[in-house]
This record gives sequence, structure tokens and C-alpha cells, in this order.
Amino acid sequence: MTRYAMAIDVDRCVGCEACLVACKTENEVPLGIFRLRMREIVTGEFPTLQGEFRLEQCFHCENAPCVPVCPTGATFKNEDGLVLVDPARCIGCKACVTACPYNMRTMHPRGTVEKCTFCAHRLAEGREPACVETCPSGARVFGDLDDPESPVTVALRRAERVDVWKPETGARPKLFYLNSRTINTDVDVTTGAVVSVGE
Amino acid sequence: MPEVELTGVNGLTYPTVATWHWEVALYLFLGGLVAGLIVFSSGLRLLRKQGFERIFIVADLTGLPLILLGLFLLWLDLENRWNFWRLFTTFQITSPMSWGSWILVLVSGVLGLRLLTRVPSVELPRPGSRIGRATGAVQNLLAGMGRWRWVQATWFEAMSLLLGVGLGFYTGVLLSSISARPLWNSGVLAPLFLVSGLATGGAFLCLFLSHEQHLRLVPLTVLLCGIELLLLLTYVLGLVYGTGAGQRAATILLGGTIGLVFWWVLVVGGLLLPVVLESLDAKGRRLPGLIQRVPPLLKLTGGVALRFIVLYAGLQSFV
Repeated sequence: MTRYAMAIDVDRCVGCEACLVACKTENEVPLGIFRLRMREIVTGEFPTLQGEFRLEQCFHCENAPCVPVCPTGATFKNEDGLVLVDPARCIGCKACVTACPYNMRTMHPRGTVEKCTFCAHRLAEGREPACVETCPSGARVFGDLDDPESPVTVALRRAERVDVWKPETGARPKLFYLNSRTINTDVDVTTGAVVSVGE
Repeated sequence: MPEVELTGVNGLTYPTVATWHWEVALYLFLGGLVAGLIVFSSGLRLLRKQGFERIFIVADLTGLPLILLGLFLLWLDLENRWNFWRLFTTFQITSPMSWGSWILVLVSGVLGLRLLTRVPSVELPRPGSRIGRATGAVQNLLAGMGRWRWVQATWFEAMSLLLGVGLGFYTGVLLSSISARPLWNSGVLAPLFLVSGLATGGAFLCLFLSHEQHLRLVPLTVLLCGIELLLLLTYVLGLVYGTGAGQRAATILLGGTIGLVFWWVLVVGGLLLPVVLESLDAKGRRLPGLIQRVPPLLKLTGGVALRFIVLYAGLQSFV
């Protein structure tokens, strides 16, 4: 059994957004929509401010809230634990977009749901996701959680601190943040204002 | 407490938060309204109440057009409209929307049969012609349906009643099953939408009744408004005394423009005022004829407001 997961070492991320560009190019994501996002979070008291980049994308949750609400079975989990969308079955009802606690789904201009697939087509060829391959600082690592020697498992073992975003939702995301202090900083999605600083 | 709290995000990369629009809100209202029509008409038939023939006629004639209008609105909100038939090639047991699709098929079938029983038999124009023969065949079929006594049978009424309750309940479950939206993720929402649907269905029927017939229904309509108020109170208290996300959701619902609509259009205009007016009317206070007609309209406005504010406030609330 394979359980693909990703980890992002926040200490290593330089905020270059090359991963966003690589994703758009690799997956031919249309103009105006993105599968990946980057949020800059700055907190603290002058002069001891701290800043971090929170990279956001589909978290391929173990207990994905988007899967059970889909009325046609277009959103599904494959045998490798990836949450995928079959565009041929998608009716564009947006139930999954509404159900995602991370707001990581959006609509493709053709009327179907658009989201990160962890580059499933590349995984099938034995390659890493485009964002991982392109990361210049090695902040992103990818692999199989069930393989104790995979890069992601090793990174999780070695990190001083491991977080997931919004653990209280019970979605059990499979994108982990390493060595971060503000990943769970709660941000108002409509205004961008900080609601509470996560520690 | 940190002195500086800033976040920055490239606005281009941020998707639109609003996923569902006015079509869905209006559909939820129409679904509840039709549920109310079915429950009222089947319930009164099952109880063998006399003197409500007009309710049966109105419910039979308007049920199907109203639910078809709702379905059309739902279809309009789909982003991939011509793929809608995919809904009916599968049944996803965990998806409230899939349950709803099939409930709507059954409800439309029941309402279609009821509508057909009301089709009057008309004399055929030029019965000998080809068109005349085809028309005659259709008319014979329709007239035959009118004689289908089983459409009025107890088991059919009971099944219709259950479908009506299922329809009203599902309109709430559709929203409450989404845990990412704390404003919707409440067990009270489904019964609230069901009772509101019954109240608005009753109000719609009252528009077509005589004043005397309306007064006979007042104890029931007032009771429904009372239950709706209690459920609304429970719903709001659950948010206010709930988690941080629930409390933030409550401020969206109870404050700002949405709050104004909540308090004045829904609570005062849509529930309290009609209850007071109907109660005064039932107690024999002399009210002008126009005022006697106002409570059903107020309740219908409140029903529309409930769906709109819950939908739009929910879309702004996040875990």
C-alpha cells in the first residue's frame, strides 16, 4: 500500500514561488487560476519579527471532506491515497469546493474542478511532482509514508517540529510543514486579516 | 501579544470564496415550499379533513411547476451543465446531493401524477384526422390517469408525505453536511429548514384560501412559526456558545447587513409579526381585509430571507 505525502521545510523555503510556476507549466493550468498558493506571514514585536512562507495546495487528506460530498463520484481517492477528480464525471456543482476546509479547490474554465494532483501523471512515470523537482532550496520533499526510507518519511523523522494546517478539522492532511512556528496562524479568508496566531 | 501581525498573498492566486449563488438559495426555498405543499395536502388527506379541496387543487397544480423551477435554478448554478445527467447514473450513499437528486426524481414523479389527475377531459377537435387521433390517444391516457384511484390511496398519500418530509429535511442536510463551514455544520439546520418549509408551504396555500378556511389553519401555522423560532434560537445559541469558528460565524449571521436581514426580515417580519396578526385575527379582532392577507406573504418573504442569509453567511464562514 502506498500513501503519497509531501513535506515542506519552512526553514528552507525562500519564497521564490518557482513551485507555483512549475505547477502551472507542468499541468497547463489556465490563466487566472492556480493550484498552488503562497502566503507570507509576519508576526512578532519589533525588532524581533519573524516571517514565514506558508505554501498551500491540495492536502490529499486521509479523511478528505471533499470526497463524500461529491454526488457523481467524480472526486475520489485512488489506491495511492491521492485525492483526484475525473473531469468526465464532474458536473461542476461545487459541493467539493465548498467542503474543502483549506479552500484549495477552484473551477477550471471548462466547468470542472481544478486542484493539485501531486502530479499523478509524473508519479506513474516514476518521477517526482513538478513543484518538488523544481524547488531550488530543497524545501519540498515527497514520498511514500509507508516506506520508512522514502524522502518524506526521513524528513518527518529528522524535523525538530512537524505541523499540519488546521488539525482540528480531522481531515488528516498529507502535506506536512516542518520547522514552522506560524503555520496554524488563522487568517480570515475574506479580508486576509490575522484572526489568531498559531504556535 | 505580538505587535505585528501581517499576512500577504498574491491576490491572483486566491480563488473565489463564493461558490454557490442566488440560484441555490432560491432552490432551497422552493424545495422547502414544495415539501410544505406535499406534507400539507397529503397530511390533510390522510386525516380525512373536510373542506380543504382548494388546498388539494392548488398543491396538485403548483407542486410540479415549482419543483421544476427549483431544478432549473439548480441546473443554472452548475458549472458543467450538460453533464448533469451524470447525477442519475450513480447513487453516492455519502453524498447529500446524490440523495437529493434521487429524492427530487421521486418527488417530481409523485407531483407529475398528481398534476395528471387534474387534467380535464376535453372534447376532441376533428377526431378523424391523424393529429386528432394522436391527441385523442394522449387525452385518453390522461383521462385514464385521472381515474387512477391509487393516486388517492392511503399508501400513496403516506409515501408522498414521507417524500415531502425527506425533501424538506434534505435541503438542510445539503448545507449542514459541510463541516468546513461552521455556520452550516449544525444538526439543527435540517429540522429548521424542514419546519420553515412547512410554514412557507402552508403560507403559500393560505394565499388561495378564503378567510374562513385560513382561520381554520391558524393554530397549525402559528405552531409551525413557534417551532421555527425555537429552532432558530437553538441554532444561534449553538453557534454563539460553540467553538471559536462557530462564534465568528455567528457574528457574520447576526451582524452587518446580513444581521439586519436576519433580525428584521426573518425574525420580526417573517415570524413574529405574522404570528401576532394571525393570532389577533383568530381571536376575532377586526383587521382590515388587506392586513388579513399579509401574514402568508410575510412568512414567504421570511422563508426566502432564511435561505439567502444562511447560504451567504455560510459561504463567508470558515473553520
